[in-house]
Amino acid sequence: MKGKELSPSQITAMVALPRITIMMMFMPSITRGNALHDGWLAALISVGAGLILAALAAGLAARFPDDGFGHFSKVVLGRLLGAVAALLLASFYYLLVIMWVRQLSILVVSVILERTPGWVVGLSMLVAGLYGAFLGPGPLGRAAVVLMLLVGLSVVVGLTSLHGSGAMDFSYLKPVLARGWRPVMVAAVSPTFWFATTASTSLVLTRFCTRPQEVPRAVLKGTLISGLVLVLLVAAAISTFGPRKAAEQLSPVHSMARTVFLMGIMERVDIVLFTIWIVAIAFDLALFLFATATVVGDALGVRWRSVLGFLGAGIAAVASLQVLDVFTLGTLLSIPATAMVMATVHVGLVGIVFLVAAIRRQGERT
Amino acid sequence: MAKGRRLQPGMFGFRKRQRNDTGGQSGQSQPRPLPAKLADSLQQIRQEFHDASDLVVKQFCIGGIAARKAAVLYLEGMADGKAVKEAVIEPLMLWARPQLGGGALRGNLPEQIRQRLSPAQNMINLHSMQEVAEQLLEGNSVLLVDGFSVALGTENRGFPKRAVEAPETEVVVRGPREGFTEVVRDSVALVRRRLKTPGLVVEQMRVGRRSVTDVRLLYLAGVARPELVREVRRRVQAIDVDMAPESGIIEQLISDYLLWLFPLIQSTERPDTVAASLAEGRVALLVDHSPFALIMPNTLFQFFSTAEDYYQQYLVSLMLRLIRLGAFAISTFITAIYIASSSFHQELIPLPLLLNIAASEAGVPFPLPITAVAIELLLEVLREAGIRLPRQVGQAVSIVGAIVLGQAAVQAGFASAGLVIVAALGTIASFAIPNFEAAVAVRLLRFPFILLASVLGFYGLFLGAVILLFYLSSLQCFGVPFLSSGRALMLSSYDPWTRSPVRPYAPRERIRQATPPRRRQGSDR
Repeated sequence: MKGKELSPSQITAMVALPRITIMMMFMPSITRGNALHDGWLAALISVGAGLILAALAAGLAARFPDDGFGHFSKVVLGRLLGAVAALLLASFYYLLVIMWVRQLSILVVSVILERTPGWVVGLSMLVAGLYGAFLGPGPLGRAAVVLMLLVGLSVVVGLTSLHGSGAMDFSYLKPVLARGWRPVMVAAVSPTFWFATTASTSLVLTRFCTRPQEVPRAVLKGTLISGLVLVLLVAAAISTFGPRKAAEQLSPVHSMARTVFLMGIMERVDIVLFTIWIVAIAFDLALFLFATATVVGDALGVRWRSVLGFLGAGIAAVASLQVLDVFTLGTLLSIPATAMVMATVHVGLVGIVFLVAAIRRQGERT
Repeated sequence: MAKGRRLQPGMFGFRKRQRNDTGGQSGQSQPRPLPAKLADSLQQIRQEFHDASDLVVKQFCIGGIAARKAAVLYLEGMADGKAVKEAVIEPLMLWARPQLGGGALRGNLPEQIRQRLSPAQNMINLHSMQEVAEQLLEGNSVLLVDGFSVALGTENRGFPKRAVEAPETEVVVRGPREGFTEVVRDSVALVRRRLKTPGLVVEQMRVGRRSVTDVRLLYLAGVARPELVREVRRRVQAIDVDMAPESGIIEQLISDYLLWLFPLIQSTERPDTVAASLAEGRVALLVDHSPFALIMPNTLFQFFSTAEDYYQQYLVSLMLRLIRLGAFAISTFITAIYIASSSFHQELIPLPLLLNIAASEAGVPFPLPITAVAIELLLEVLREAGIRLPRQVGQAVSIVGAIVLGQAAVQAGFASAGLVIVAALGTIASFAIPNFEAAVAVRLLRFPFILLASVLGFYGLFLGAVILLFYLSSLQCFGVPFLSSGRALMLSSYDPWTRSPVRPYAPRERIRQATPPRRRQGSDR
């Protein structure tokens, strides 16, 4: 089959990596809510719910092993509605790209490159992402495996160092449902949709897989791995800072990294964390730019590389206008708004396509 | 296979010829039959070779009978003149007369000669002028007999050649000291001695219209993927150049890409490396006039393995391989890390060290990135000079240059001591990479990383790293990803990340013919 370049294990890495990257950066709307000591429980619940949504997306993709979302949404919903659904999903992916670039730019210029304009950081990151996306699914899959090793190693080393430093107090984790289920469930909403977001890339990647029937399993495996990391990080953050202080942190993982001191060799381990973010975020951008271009390309019947060219040209055009913060999207980037958009996309969009496909299938059988 | 990016034959200064230009390669035009008359044949051969002064023609009479005129031709220096005299001319001149008497024997004379001399001489019949020319150019002698339009080619090669010596570019402490030579037949024999199986297939091909270079394609039947063998054969046969004087030319012409940084085809001087690669299912090319064999496909991890890894204890070889991987990282990033941490992220460095660095940088008038590039360039110049000069002088220049110039640069305030140490460490680390071409690629990579670290600090450095990762992920060699661990490409890799700790070269399951090839396919839709 033409273009079949991804193995299931590469898809696992591609699904797990973006989620872990985001968690390392801003894990924590989950620690910010009222769940407090029970934040880790909220993380656990979000993993379970995320697995269900991941199964929905991967199951839908597996029904159309040789088509992308842009193709089969037209088959399921009809030509016009299908194209609209595909473009909505692509817009969502593109929104994520812009959001990550903006957030990373802000972090980089506020923590490590104070005198550099944000648009320089953002634009250079986008160029790297566009290059990765342009190379296509095969190179992205291979890069994902290498990066997963790097990120996995850094998580293990980081947590071990943190534990070794004696900063963790596990008694903070004890109270279970001290405030009832409600705050725990509310805290679990946002990460659930993040899991669903990364899992939804299977809607794009399945048709590039050498063994598409194994994609659902690979996606669930990737979601589970990233879920395990989330639970560990949340537990580490709560036990390191205590539930209230953890809730005050913009980036608890960054704060945790700052508490580690490497035997006089390195004063600030958090810089290492930044480097891993940079590398992993560039991968995420590449993946979601690729997903955007593929979905748009399929929906409109044009080559995805051409779409990518347009996306790149659009970004360059905006940057050439010397708009200082070209990535500001105002209220769209607030946590409630993001959660709403994600819920609409995953439950509304993907869910509808799934349901219609299931109903049609049932109809064909009867 | 990377359609559209394939290297087009006719590049690298070798002009692409029209097909009607017969050039020096046979088979391009209709074969001209040999005249029956000896004088006419000799005249035509002399014309073909433009009266070359090294074309030796020795005329004599078979059995001393004046009517049985014959001539032996060979190119001086290419064939062994003494062997021609002893093995062809003298036996024929001394052939007993009774055996040559009678007209009935006249028609069978070349056949009789062949039967008389062939067991020792491996004679073949030649029917055209092109075949005669090919034989002479191969270093063989040609026997012409008056009245017959058939010549006899005799194997008497005797050109000067180098003996088998230890390879200079791949030195090992423990392992065989044999390296390939410039004679392809000897090189093939060195491999065959290590793989005593009839499954070792050696195919002969010719490359170059004028050089007519002998290229041998080696693989193990039943182990190498047939698709891979076919593709290598196809690419070599598609080469259309005038000259192919070295395997490096073949490497460039069959590579997947027009421009690349890392060597995508492994070159080696070691027969044991080729034999091991063939046993893994890879394919090798041996090229006449070149002591370097080409092995394909290649992966990144091949750069860090040596033949010696298998001859030592597992733990020792594992440690050495990890050291080489570390050397790769050090060589690529260390100068850039020094610049990024000194210029942008001083908070990373412990205070006592930071104070020392600041003190040494204080007296330097130039910005750190400019000094770093200058020092790196200086080291590259010293390295290049050390290679090109005679060995004894080269070593002296390298050592004296590095020590004296480094010391002088620090004392003169041109560069800080820290920078000189870091740059020297990076250069030394690059020497730990076993593959010379990969080491050069790594050294070249340092410059863009220095630039990125100078402009954007660690952010730029790691942005460059991710772009490098994307680039390496995109590379393929004969349809096999360059970042592949090795198992995906071959049927039985002994060496994906590190060798097996239990049994090096343990028997593996061989190829399943039904296994689909991994090909680079367009995925633009």
